[in-house]
Amino acid sequence: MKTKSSLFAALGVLALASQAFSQNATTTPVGAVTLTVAAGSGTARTVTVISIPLIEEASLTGQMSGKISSLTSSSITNGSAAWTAGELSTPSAPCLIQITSGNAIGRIFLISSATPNTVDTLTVDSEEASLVDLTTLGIAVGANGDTYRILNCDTLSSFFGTPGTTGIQGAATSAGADIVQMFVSGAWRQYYFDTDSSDWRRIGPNTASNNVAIKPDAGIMYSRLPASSLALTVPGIVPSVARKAILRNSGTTFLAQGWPVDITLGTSGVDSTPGWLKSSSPASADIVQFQVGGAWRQYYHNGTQWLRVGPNTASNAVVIPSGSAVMISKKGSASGATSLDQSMPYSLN
Amino acid sequence: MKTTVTSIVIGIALTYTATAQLITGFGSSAPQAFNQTFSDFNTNTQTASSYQIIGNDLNLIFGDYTPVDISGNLMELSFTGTFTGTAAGNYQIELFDADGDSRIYVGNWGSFTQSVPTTVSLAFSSFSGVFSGTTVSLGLSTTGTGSGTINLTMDSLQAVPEPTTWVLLAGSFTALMVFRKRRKA
Repeated sequence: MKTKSSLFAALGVLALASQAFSQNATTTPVGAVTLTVAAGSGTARTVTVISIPLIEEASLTGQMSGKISSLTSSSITNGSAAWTAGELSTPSAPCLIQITSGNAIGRIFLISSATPNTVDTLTVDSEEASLVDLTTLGIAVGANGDTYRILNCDTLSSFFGTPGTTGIQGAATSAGADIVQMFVSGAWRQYYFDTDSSDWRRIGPNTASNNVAIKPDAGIMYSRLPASSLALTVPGIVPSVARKAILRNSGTTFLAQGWPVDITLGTSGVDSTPGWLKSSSPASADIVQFQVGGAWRQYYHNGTQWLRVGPNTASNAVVIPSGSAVMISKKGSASGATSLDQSMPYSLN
Repeated sequence: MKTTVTSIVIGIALTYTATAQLITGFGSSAPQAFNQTFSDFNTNTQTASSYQIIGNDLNLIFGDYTPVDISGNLMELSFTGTFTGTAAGNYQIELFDADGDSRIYVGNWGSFTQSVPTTVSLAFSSFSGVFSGTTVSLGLSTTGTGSGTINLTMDSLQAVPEPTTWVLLAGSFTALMVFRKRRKA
């Protein structure tokens, strides 16, 4: 977690409660939210699904917001950016680019660390580039090009810290540690804090993983071992534009809820994504599942409304809590991805 | 003779009351035949008396059966099955009434002895909605991390009678013994 003590000293820690968004605001609210990870038993882990509901604007050299002058399938250029070469591609402090106007407003892409940015051009991370061709998104370029802003992207190290800084449980082996699990490149990856090497490690290949990026759209499963809960403080600003999240056309997408306020299944927009399978039978429908009261529940859309798999109870009003995540399972084997479009569930005017 | 018969009838009735709170099988021809209506496990194999599921943690099965009255204050279920796998977290069994309201019970995969038929305890967790007292369907959902493996053959799910039920049973048999002694005297 990026500690911005100076920010809080200036602004104070503003708890972002739902009520805050029923009022109009003249500036984007800044503050922090606290994510609570449920306690384990000491010997068995308890899984809590979390995500990062706030964003952080980057403060680096050059234009952190500006107009897109040109693009390719995987790169974006702002001829006036004046970035320092490589500053947006630092592995330990990765950055994101968010499109803030036009057809692709709300799209967020991780900036590649493997291909360092130049003074005016950045490259999108290869995993996202494999799913989305930037030239197909209707992004305007040139003098009247669409706008962007550069955001900080958390990493395992910056968000979860160390046992001493945040209270996560580390250990010499994963058997005694809390486990963080994310869905990366179509597969689950698990990480723990290794107290011998004093860094985050991937379970299995044991690779150093401090710099693994946690994108704002990423769902995270946190498996807590100690018999004490864990409070993670997330500083940042409230998302101030609509959202367009990448949703794989088949298989699993583990997607952050995305907002600092609760939303419902009925307003999530999931059923409006292109190609969403609706059916009177859950066996033939695409499935959304998320934790309710600590247990996973599955839902499908029958063409009229959301229903819970099993008892078939009407579920449009089921709440998807802020700071959580949903697992979306799309049937079939189609490649590529589509976009989950969500309007802001609050007003900032 | 009449009192003895009466006591036996009472005893049988109370015993029946306790054992009526059973979902006695997950097989296709068990007294409470389990009819799967949804599953996202990779494999589902049902015999006359058992039901096997193979898949990953985070999967779900759902099915229905002949309605069972469980209107007592059941705080514990007894679950018999054979588990093999790496899933290490909790799982949840939810008993639904006809309206979709439910009673929720939680167990842990670690309670099973791997690959050996085992009877484990499921603790009552919570209600969802206003449960009518009669269950018509069941959902088993795993609550772990999605990466553990599960190979579970389910044999039976039994409601553990409340202590008060056992007291009634003990009372009826005590009464039976008393009547029999009186008759001999």
